[in-house]
Amino acid sequence: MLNACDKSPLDPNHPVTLSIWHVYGAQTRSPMNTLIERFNKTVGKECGIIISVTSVTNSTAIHDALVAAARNQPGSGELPDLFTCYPKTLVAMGSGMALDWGKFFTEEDLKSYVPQFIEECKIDGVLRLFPIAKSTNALFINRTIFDRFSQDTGASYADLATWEGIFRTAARYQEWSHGKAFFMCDDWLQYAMLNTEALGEPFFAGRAVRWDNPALLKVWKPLAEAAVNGQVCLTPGFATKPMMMGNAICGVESTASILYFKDTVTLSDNSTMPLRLLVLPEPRFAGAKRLDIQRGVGLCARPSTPEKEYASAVFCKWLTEAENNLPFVIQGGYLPVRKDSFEKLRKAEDVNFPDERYRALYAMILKIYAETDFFLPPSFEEYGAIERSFAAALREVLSAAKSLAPDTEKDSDNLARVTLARMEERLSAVPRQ
Amino acid sequence: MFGPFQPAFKRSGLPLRARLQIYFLALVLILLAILLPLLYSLDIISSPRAGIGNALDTYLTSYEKSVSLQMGNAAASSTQLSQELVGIIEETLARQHAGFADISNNPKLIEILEYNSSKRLSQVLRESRCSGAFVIFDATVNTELPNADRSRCGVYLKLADTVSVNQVKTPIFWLRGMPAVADMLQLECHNKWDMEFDISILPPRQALLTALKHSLPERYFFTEAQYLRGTWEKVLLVCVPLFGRDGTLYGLCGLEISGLLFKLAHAHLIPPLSGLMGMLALRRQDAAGAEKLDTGAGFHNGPALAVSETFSSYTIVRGQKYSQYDDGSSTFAGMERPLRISPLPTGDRHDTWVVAAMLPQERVKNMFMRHYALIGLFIVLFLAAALIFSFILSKRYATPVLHSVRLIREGGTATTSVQEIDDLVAFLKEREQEMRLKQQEGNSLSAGQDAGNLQVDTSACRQFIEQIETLSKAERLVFDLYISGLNAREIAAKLNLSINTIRTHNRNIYAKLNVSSYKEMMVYVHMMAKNAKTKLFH
Repeated sequence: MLNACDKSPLDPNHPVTLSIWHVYGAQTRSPMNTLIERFNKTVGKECGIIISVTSVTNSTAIHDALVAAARNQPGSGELPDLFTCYPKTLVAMGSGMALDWGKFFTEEDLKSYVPQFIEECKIDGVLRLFPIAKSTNALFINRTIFDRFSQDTGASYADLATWEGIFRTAARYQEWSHGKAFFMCDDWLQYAMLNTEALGEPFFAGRAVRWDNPALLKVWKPLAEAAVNGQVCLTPGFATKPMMMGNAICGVESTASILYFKDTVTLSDNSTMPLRLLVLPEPRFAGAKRLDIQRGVGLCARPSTPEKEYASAVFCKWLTEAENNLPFVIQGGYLPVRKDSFEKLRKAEDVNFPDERYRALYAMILKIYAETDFFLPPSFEEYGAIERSFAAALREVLSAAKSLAPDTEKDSDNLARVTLARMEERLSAVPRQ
Repeated sequence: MFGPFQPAFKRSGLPLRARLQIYFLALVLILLAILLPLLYSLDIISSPRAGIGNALDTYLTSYEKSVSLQMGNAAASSTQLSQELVGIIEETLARQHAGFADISNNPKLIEILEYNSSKRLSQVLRESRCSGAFVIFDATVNTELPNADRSRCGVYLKLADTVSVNQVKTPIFWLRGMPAVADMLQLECHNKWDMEFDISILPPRQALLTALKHSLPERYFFTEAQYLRGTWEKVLLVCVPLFGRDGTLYGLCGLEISGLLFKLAHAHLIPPLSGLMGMLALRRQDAAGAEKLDTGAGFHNGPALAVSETFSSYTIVRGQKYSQYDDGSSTFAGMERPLRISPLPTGDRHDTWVVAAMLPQERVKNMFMRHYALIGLFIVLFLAAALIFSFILSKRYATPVLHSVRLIREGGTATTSVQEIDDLVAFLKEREQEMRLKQQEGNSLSAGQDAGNLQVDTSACRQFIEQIETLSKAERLVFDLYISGLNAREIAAKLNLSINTIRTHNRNIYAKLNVSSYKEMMVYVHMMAKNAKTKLFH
């Protein structure tokens, strides 16, 4: 049905224009914009479809903008024809705001896609989002500095396989660097949630965090201790930035972060040093099972005229075809969503990695995908608010607790309990929308 | 006028109906030849050239207003910002007991200056409809670095998202400046953060100072739009110099307009023609006076990919209704107009910021083709209608004539509905009868025998005689004159009547006496005379 334009309701002489908000490559060279330009020049021109990018931002900003637009909040923009978001965002907007892709993709069509990616995109059994690229978390390391640190102290990359090793290394690094932080996480809720789940305990009970969870206490305690000692970078935003300023040398980030790393680190006197990057799997606590998060937004289309809906589906299908999808996902550090693309990537057929960083990253990602179980973040309505409040609360609570820096094990336990109680207090006071 | 047809008429002897059709069609063509130029001259049918020119002009008028408003607001806000920043710089330096020359290589002082300036920058950014705000100080944190001559400290704040109308809540990113200041202000660093500005995109300091010397009090200029290093975003900076009270140039400040913001700001203007684009561009003039339009220096609104986002330089050929723009690979019809605000020229003094409305040549061709196709269709339909009309009219006109001719050929006696033909037929019969009578008089005996040979029913003859009584006085007079041997023209002359009146009397006489012709009537008259001797009627 979507393979050709000849039976379509579109007229190439009077093309339909679809506006799109997406999250691929904000503040950098956007691989999605490049792909859209190619679509407009080829299939779009042939079929009468113009995709017009009207916003490129990140998943947090797009969540706010979409929810505000869906609710017609003052000052919000008009909802675009196409947008990318997480399931939680669509739930907050109202799932009826997105077209059912099942109108255009048969069950047979969907069999070509990785089943767990399709499953994640269903809301109440309806395919409201369409997977176009997926990612997971990884540990990015500034090798330029770490190698020097390693030579001086004997620290090794093997130490970075577990969180216990990370926290030990963070303490040694702080001493070696005269007080600098060692690492940062992009998403502190994911740190707490994933590690708790990996230790075998559910993080949520219904829609509420299980604050009395012993596994949560176990993952929280070393973090709180490292944070109050200044070994963890507690600035807002992504870990890429402190790493590019030399304020941290490790970051747990999305694999898509590779797109955002520059080649250099800028130091405080404005001089620069080259940034050699190493990518390792995200560490786990000793004894925890291997569990990795499945990340990546999906593509949604607003219910609209038959022409616009058809045009959206043509674009969506084109976007996920191997010859278009592979170059796009590789540039962005993502995984493709079709089985045939995945196989090509695995066999390194028709694959051009931009540089060695990317080659190493994909070797690591494919290994993870072969060995791990994937964890899907919940998509209930309040999850977005919890996610955002959690990181802000963590920064505030742990920054404020620096006076409680522990000297003894007892102090450590006390610090963990006190700060976790403050977290609970802070989060219970946060409006859920 | 119909010279070419005349020999054909003479040679072939065209039938009456064909001749009529040709005359009708000729008339239609003459009408068409008069009508079309008249419709054009009265603007009832407008030429596509004029239509395109009007559409370009209409769109350009509203587009120029909109762009000038946006750029003018940015220039005004930047000018106001510059005055406030000069105050902030001088106050900060005074508090720190430092001069402007002490800033370079002094990170602490730079941090303080950046912190103090950032608050005002952030405020202006939220109040203005712009995508970024910046201040560049003419100093650097490290003069020892190899690129120190083009590296300048300062602050560059950038809105996270320009699509949202609500700029009050939109997050702000720290694109340039000391990271410690960003931490103090709780601002997140942009992915392409750098500590300092690379000022190579700005006009050289000396050129700037020269331009400023010749300028009006409103001193502002636009940089050519460029991609922010390492990003997909193209931006244009509205710049205002920062002059201290003692005339020292402290640097520059201003606001950023991104390509996306520009596109969204003017998206409400719907072009009257599909494919029509609006653009902010730089018109350059070389020493020989040749003009080129550099669209890469600005932004555009309109269909994606219609013009290159990066660089395109179009030669301009002026036309009567609009100009032609050509970059060697694509051609546009369009027109341009200078911005009503006047930023300082920063490159060549002949460069002018203009707004332009441009329509792809392909679209222009399509419009012309469509117009000609419509006119052609109109002519074809008009001629087809004329053909049908002439066919029907000529048929209606020729049918009675042809019918009469057929009747005459068949020797029939019925009258036609065309008076002239009946008269002609009567006339011809009279002529024939006269000739016959003359022949009969010459051969009276044989003529009597001939008349006697006519097998006329005596009862018909009797009825003829009886019907004579039904004639009116005038008809009887004419009848008697016929009997006396006069012909129609002689009777007309004698009675001082027109020949047509006599013909009318003839028709009435024939009808009343139940004869179809003069010849038949005279047969009865002869019979009547002959039989008078045999007392047939006594």
